[in-house]
Amino acid sequence: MEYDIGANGSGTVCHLSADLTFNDHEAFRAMLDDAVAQASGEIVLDLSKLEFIDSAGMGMLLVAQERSQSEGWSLAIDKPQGQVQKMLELAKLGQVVTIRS
Amino acid sequence: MDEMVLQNDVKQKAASEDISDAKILIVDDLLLLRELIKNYLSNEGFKNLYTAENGVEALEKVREIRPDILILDILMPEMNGFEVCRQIRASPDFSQIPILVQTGVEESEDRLEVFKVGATDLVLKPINGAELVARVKVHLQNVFMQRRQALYHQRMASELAAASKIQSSLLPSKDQMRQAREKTGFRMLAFYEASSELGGDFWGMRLLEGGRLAFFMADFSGHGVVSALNTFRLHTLLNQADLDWDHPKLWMQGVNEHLCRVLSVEHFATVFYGVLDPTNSTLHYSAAASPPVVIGTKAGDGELIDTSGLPLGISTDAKYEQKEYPFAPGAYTLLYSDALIETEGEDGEVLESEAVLAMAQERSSEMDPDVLINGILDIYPGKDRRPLPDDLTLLAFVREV
Repeated sequence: MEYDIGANGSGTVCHLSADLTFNDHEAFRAMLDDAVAQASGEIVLDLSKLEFIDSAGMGMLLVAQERSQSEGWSLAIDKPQGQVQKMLELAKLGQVVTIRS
Repeated sequence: MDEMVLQNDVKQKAASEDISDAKILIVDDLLLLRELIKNYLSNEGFKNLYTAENGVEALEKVREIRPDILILDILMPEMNGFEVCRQIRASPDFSQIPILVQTGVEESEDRLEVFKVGATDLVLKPINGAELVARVKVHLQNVFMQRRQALYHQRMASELAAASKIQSSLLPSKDQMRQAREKTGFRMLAFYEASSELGGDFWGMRLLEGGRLAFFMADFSGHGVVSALNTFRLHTLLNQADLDWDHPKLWMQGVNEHLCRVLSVEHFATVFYGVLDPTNSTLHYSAAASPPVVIGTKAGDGELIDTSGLPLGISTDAKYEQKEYPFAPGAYTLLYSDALIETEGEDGEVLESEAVLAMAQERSSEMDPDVLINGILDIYPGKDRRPLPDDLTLLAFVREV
């Protein structure tokens, strides 16, 4: 996984690219820490450049969601594409996380 | 046999942490020098000191006492130190022994040659006792550390292999599948191959009243020991809990409630649960994000059925749908774990579910689960890789005509 963190009008945006898989646990956690440190308002995970996600990757999205609830910030997942979108739909992840197309 | 002896040897040596127990073979043609070196080492607490006075005797003693380190002179009668080095390095049993060569200043041209034939290190003559001892200790510490690591890896590997065996033993046996066929008229076949690590794939079945056959396939997120432990948890749950096996939707909700209690946030299971009912020729099923399941008939038609649903273990509020699909004589269904469609081939391409469907349709006319599964294995992008990068499970059910 690669990422960079920026801002939009309403909050902090993490742009994820390449793959989100089992090997990215540490990187993903570090990214969240950074984002939370900078955040004012909402944190958005922009997946428009993310090409592949596996079950461990989806687990990380759930960890982010859990963390947002316990720490009291809001999380949204933006623009999943291709295989990533298919996986999120198959898992109906929209039931537990805000996903915007 | 040799290997076993060697392994025992490794274990015993690694168990003794203290390098002063190391066996040291000192090879020199001069008695005075042998005694001098022995003296330096015994003053430092080394107890197991052996000597040889020429190359031939050195090789015999190496085989006999299996020293942990060799201190070797170069110029000797019978066989010189170069040849001793070469022969030791050529022998698989001893190729790792550190060899500390002593060379005279006048033999400076030989020094490079010493390393070429396989020496680990050298000390200059006349021998400085403190330096010799220091070098011996460094090399012995390395050897002992490497042995501890090798032993640790060996133990981990054998424990993983044992756990993998236990995991496989939870799956239905060929006998159970044959009995199920006799009682229900559904013919089935499973392919399961574990990856190098333990994995999170698990499937099973149960005979229900009225000749119905219930089956499930589950895949826990991630891989490795944690996922494997979760398959054991599920196995226990299915055998103990009061689950409603007759109603896929309720079965799914029951399993979900339990998994929500025991799984940590990032762990979940994708699951397919189906009941094949010969009386009304129907597959009743409920799914939680399992890879799209193929269902088709002998005539060659087929499709990927909707398997979407929140994976189990995420939310106790999750509701699961129950769906029906016709399953008359001549129908088949094919399930697979996500490794089938997530493993990249050499070209970096993955297999799409649609290609799995197409292959199943091509192979469906024979109504043979074996033919179906072999067809899929043929197009699996990881088929030439061993061990597999991820667990692979394929499962086929055919309703005989």
